[in-house]
Amino acid sequence: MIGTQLVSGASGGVDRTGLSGLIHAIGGALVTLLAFVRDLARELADENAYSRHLSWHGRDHSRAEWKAFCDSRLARKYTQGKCC
Amino acid sequence: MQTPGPILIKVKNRKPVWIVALLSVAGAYCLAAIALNRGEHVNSVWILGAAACFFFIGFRFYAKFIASKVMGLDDSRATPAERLRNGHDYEPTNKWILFGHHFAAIAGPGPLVGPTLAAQFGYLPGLLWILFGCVLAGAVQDFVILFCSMRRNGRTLGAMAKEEIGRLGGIVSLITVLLIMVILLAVVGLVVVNALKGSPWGAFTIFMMLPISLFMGIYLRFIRPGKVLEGSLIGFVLLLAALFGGRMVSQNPEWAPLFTFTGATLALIIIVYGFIASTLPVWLVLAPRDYLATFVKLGVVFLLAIGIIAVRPELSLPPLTRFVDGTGPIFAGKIFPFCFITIACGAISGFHSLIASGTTPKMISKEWNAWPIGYGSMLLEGFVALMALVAAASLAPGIYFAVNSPPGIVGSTPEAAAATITGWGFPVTAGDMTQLATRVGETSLFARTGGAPSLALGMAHIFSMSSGGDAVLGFWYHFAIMFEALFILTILDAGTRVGRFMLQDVLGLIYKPIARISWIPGMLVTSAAIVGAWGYFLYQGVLDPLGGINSLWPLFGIANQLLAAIALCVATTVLLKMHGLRYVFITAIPLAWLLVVNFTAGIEKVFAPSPRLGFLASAQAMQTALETGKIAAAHVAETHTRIFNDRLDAAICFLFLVLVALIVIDSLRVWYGLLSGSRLPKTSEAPFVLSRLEASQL
Repeated sequence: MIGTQLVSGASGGVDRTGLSGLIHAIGGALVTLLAFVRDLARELADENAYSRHLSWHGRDHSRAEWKAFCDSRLARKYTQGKCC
Repeated sequence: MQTPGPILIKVKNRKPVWIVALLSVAGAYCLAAIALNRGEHVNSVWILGAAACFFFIGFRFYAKFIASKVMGLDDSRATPAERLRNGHDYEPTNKWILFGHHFAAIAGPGPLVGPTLAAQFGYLPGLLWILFGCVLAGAVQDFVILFCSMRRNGRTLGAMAKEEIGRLGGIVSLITVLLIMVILLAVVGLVVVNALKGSPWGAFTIFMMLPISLFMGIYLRFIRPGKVLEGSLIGFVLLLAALFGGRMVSQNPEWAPLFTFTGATLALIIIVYGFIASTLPVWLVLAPRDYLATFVKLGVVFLLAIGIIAVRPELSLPPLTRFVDGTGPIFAGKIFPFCFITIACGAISGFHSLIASGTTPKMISKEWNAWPIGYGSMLLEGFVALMALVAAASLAPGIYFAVNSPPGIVGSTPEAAAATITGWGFPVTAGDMTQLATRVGETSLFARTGGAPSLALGMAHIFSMSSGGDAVLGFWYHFAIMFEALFILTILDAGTRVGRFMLQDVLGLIYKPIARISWIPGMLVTSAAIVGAWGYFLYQGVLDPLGGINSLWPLFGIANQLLAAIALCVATTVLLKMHGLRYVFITAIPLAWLLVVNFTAGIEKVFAPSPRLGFLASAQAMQTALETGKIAAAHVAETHTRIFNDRLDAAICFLFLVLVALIVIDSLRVWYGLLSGSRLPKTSEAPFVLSRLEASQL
């Protein structure tokens, strides 16, 4: 996960103790949390799915590509009712 | 000499026992503090404490037992997401991302409205059912169905019912889902109508959603294709602007009347809107609003949790009210079975089985991820239901009943309603209600049935106490109404569309072109049929002097839980095929409970001799009044319609019971065959394929 990489990268090799260690740990946790929130938001917004679609088919982003992706994804998505 | 091995094992095994013991004592202490407290207001912290202990034990021990011993989850087995990966539906997804995705899909208005309405019995029955129902029934259903679908290439519930039980199971599931959809759409439409009638602030804000959604649709399609987060953020800012605009409209003597509607007018507007929105391309209105609704929903749930922890409101409602005897004003019926029907999705929801056998099983990367996603998401939904219960129970009881009681029960004038409710032992005055209505920017809060306004009041109370105080009470009230309406309208659009597809499939057997989704005449006719079906129930609910919720919400609750019974029949069949009788209690006990509750409720709703409770008794009472000339000439036609509606409700309720009885009998036939050895325990599980997916690839 991106958040985990950021945290482990930032702490590389530095011995942190006491208050600075605590601040660093809290900061790292916040970065991880924010990365998670961003990833979740992108997944819910279908942006991750679009990235996967582009890389799967080896294509670049364009208006026509987005339209094709959107039409096919939304057609499948809304064959299911929303939960009550 | 004793070897260290057994000692190590002993120490290892003691840890969970101590955790269970500690959490059990803590949970029991919290529950005792809630249940044994008399004469004093209970703090909501006890509820959250009890829920945290209960849910943790359920998740860590019961669900893990099911996962390891019963399902035999195995991370070395490739999931459909890995085996059938296609870059579209089948895609291995990070566990916590999928958890959020699944939770966003299962969370709807049910767990918010149900506990609010069930608070008529006091907060204790609802609390206990949410705790036990989630851990032992709701989460188990979601988890087992997710597991079954995951092991069957992501098959739907209907397909699994057909394969595991028989052809009848598949057909009955399809008809039940279609009927539930109609009742669900009518009831959620009614919730919106009751929240917006006579409220120019609310109506303006919700009406502005249509142009905002259209703008977002065009923005995402043509201006900034693919930038959904950016478009959603702009949409949210515009919604907040509409919320402030609504306040200005409500205070303007020329504009306010233009946005002040009666319930009947609002119902017609929603029906017309439902038809138009469900026939427009999905990218234009439905999809952009759905993105927005998902983010707002998750954000508000998170904010509400923070608000409750920060404010720790005391519960003003008593643990049990006098209405456990079935004389409640919000809906008729005794605590058993109607408390369990009313809570609906907060404890167990059949609709979740459709999600658990829809998108989610196609995205699970490792089998053990089904544990937090299937079971854990439902526990989180239980927390949402508890937060709604806390929000409703933190209102003064007199206000809670004044908002939720229909005029047909408490009287049509504020003074009469206040006198009736005070007479029940819940003091409230017409002046108190007027003052409260003014503070939240409404003209009246009497008889705003449906649960949404009282929930919005409770949420606004908690939000304003945590920041801003009384000055922002009106803003938070309308924000909460907007939040509820936002995803209810999405349910209306999406549900109408799904109903249309189902109807097109069925009618396509008679006339082939109608099955073609792109054939416009077929699309218009089937959309009109579905909108007409839910629109009829919605409109009649609005005209009903008992507020409509009285008859529609129990129908919805019964239908939704009967769908859960179908899902549990499938789950029980699979467990029987896997292990024989050994672990069948896991799904058979919740199934038996649901059947007892729902058949009791269904039979009471149809045949109870009290006209307030039984549909047929109500129709008979009105028929007698007509025949004896007790109905004024001006109301004769209306009475004929109400008689017809009661009989229609009775027929639909009875049909639900018959359909589920059919599938239960069919399941019993299969179970008998399996246990007697006359039927081979053949499952349709996909064969084992070794997973090559590493954690670093996710």
